[in-house]
Amino acid sequence: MISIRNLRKSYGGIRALAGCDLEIAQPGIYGLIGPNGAGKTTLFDVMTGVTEPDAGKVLFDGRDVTRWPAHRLAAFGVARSFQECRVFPEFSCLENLLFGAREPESEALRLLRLINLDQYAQEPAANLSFGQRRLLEIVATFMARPRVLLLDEPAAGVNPALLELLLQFIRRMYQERPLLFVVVEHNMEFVMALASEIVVMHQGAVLERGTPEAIQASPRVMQAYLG
Amino acid sequence: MASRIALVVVLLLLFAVPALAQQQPYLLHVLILCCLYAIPAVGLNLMLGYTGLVSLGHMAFAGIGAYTFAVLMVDAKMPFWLALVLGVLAAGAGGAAIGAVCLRFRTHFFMIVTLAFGLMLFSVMNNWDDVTRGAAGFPGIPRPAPLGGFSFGPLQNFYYLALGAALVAFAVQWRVARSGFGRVLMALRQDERLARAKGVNAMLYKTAVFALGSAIAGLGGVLHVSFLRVAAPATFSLAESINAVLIVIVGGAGSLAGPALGALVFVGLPEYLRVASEWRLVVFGVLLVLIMLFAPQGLSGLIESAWRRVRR
Repeated sequence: MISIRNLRKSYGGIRALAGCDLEIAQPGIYGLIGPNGAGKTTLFDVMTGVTEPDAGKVLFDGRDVTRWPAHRLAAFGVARSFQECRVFPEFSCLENLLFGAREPESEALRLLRLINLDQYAQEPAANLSFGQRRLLEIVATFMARPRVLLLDEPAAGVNPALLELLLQFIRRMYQERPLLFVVVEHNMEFVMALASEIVVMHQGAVLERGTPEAIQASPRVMQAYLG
Repeated sequence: MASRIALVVVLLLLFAVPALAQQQPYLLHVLILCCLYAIPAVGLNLMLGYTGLVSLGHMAFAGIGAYTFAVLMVDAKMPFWLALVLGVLAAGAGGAAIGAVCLRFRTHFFMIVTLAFGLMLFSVMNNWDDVTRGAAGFPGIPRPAPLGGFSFGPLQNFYYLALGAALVAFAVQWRVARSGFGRVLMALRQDERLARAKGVNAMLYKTAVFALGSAIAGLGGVLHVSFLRVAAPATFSLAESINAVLIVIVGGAGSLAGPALGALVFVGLPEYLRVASEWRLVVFGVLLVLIMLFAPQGLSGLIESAWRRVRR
């Protein structure tokens, strides 16, 4: 489904991606972890057309999509959420869900009910708490009926009660639509509970991959995190 | 319902002005100028208010429309209405071409590039003597040809033309604001990166609104020079472009009525402050500061919040 080949990207003297290779062949929930500066968000940005790589290739379903602009990738079925939580603040919650959506309004209302935001459907997103906005952003990504969904730190800034709701929501969505999820996350408890496979990045490349249990026991991963 | 009634009352009043002000040609003159300033402001409101594109060269596109119209009508002897349409189209095409360059830049860089294009176009109008007649202006531009036996020569009749054109511009703005296209423009203003991630081809939409805004400015430019009977570069200078931005912001960027309210304040107020003699621009400046201080959403925002209080 996803094939990342020898991806390179530098910002000045900083190598964010240093020959990154990654193959994901099956749908599933994949966790992408690594210390700060490991290149996770840069990898997301390159995969979603936000940033152009210096070298290397990105393939989705065998199609070379390297350097495709973000809007073309979105039309192809690649959806994402952002590290800094992005919603349209002046649009209502319902309008946020319907913008760029392929799903009907009835589905938007159902999804809002699942995350307990249905009573705020007509409320501008700016009036929601940060955690609620984060939920809204993630729910909105499902409305595009994507093939691949990339979630960048979905748990960041979300309180424990909403975090549990988010976990249940993503699991439910995966049961309903078994597509490919890639979740960048620093909250280890969250990502280990959610993902069936973990990919660890370090210094711009993939260091290790395996089940959550195997990753937690890996000396190389411990070394990368603890130095 | 109440807002619709208010709209109908305002429209009836606007149409009744020539009858009510038969002995006041000066009032009609000022109201015509209000309409002629409001039209380009509508175009800029689509760009600035709805899409977040702060163009500092907007009136130069009104100039493209006006000079195209003047050359076609006076030099090429083309009929008025055909020259008007071609002038509007030329402004739109100029907007699309120049917008495609300017829109590669963002934020203050975009503003600087639009300012530079505005200055360049002004320089062309001011110096290309063979075509534009240079700084002295392009004289001899006639008033519109009669339409169905209705002559636009008399001031009150030209008022109806200016009002009609302004209403068309506002109708276009209303239609855009309520369309899917308008939703995309508003999304781009709020968060362009998110809009792109949702599948919006930002460059395409921004170029389209730049072209549309410029075409509307072109309509204003054509009628302006037809009203004054001369196309002068000063009408499309940097100062006029800055005024257009202020009209939109004072009126209320991104609101339907904003350009009309802004034009009323910008054209009408200095005229009626003439009683303050040499202090009029100082008084006007103080009033603008007060409006911005107490109505950061512009006059339309102020009216909306007052209206909400009344309805509670």
